[in-house]
Amino acid sequence: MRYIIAGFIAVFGISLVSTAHAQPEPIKTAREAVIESIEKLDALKRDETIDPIERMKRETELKREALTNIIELSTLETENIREKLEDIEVTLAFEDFRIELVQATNGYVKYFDAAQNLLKGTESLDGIQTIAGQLKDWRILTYDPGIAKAVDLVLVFQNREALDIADQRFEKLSIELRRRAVRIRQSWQPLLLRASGDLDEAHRLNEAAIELLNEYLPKDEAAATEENTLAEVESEVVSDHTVRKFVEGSITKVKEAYGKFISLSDFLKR
Amino acid sequence: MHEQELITVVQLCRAVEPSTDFKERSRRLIAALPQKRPTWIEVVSRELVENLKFTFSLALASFILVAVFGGFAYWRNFIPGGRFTNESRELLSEAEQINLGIELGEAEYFTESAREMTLLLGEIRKPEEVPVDDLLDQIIF
Repeated sequence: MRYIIAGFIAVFGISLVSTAHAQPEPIKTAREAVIESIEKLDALKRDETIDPIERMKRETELKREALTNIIELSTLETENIREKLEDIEVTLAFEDFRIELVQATNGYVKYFDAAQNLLKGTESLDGIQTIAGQLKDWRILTYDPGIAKAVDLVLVFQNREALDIADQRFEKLSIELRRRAVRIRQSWQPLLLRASGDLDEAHRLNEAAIELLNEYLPKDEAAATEENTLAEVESEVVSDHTVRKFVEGSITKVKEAYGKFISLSDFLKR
Repeated sequence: MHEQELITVVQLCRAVEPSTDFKERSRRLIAALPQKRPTWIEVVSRELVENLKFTFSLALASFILVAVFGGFAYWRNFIPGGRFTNESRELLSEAEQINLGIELGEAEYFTESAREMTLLLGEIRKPEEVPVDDLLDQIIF
């Protein structure tokens, strides 16, 4: 067990460095606090000299501290994704879903507040462990799938915004080339066509991602109000982050198009 | 030779002078020789050449300094077709903004964090009780 925890701390520490750098400062600080409390808990487990009564007392304190920090971090992460959901512009078909997700994140924040209050009023180790268990189950059943959907929605429509900008740029560049470099049309036209091909492919990948997002939308009223079970929730979330893979592919194509735009802009100064 | 004789020879030599032909030829030869003293055009042109030499060496040194310290970015300004246009500069910044706008790294963060929190909460929660069947198995076998 101790090796598992030590390994976990090592992996957790590495992932903190690799993924948290893009996060706002309060989230970074909250993650550091979580790591610190887990390290203390691990040190206590390794300490074989400690008195059993003192061990239980310390374990209660440290588990409370770790749980408090996890709830704090979860709250900050939820508020962060809620802001993104509020900022993003989606198509009409996804607007209700976006609002639904904003409301869901409000509910998550309330849940974390309630859990924090419950924890403050809980003295026993048993009580703290029970809260941790309930929180874990709730996260798996409700919170994690909800956040995964929210992240996917934000990514797909950020991708769409990027495509709109790239399309506008393509149009502007095409007009300028026809106006200022019409005599050397044969030199730039093949490259312009390839850039257009890149953008077509980027659109196709974004549409494929939107198609997958459609699976998140409620199929009918009965399905929407039905009580979710763990198995149902897991099957609802698109597996293996395919939505993200499509978005990533689309963005790569947009970047390739921009590479060609830059080469094309050279023809304007000749 | 006696002193009186020597005086007589010297007095005779005093009367010796070059022939008219020799005088004329010599005068012409001297007049035909190139003038040693430079003219004002020569002075000015020599000064000009020296100044140009100095200017060129200074320019060369400056160019080398710029090339060394300015790096390749500066060289692009001298190469035809190498200068960044406003369009390409704008495109680079737009591509950069698009790249920053898509938070794929952040999406990855949320997935990682969800996985980690589940594991940590599993550590904090009450350890799962060993099923009675397993305990019985341990006693029996």
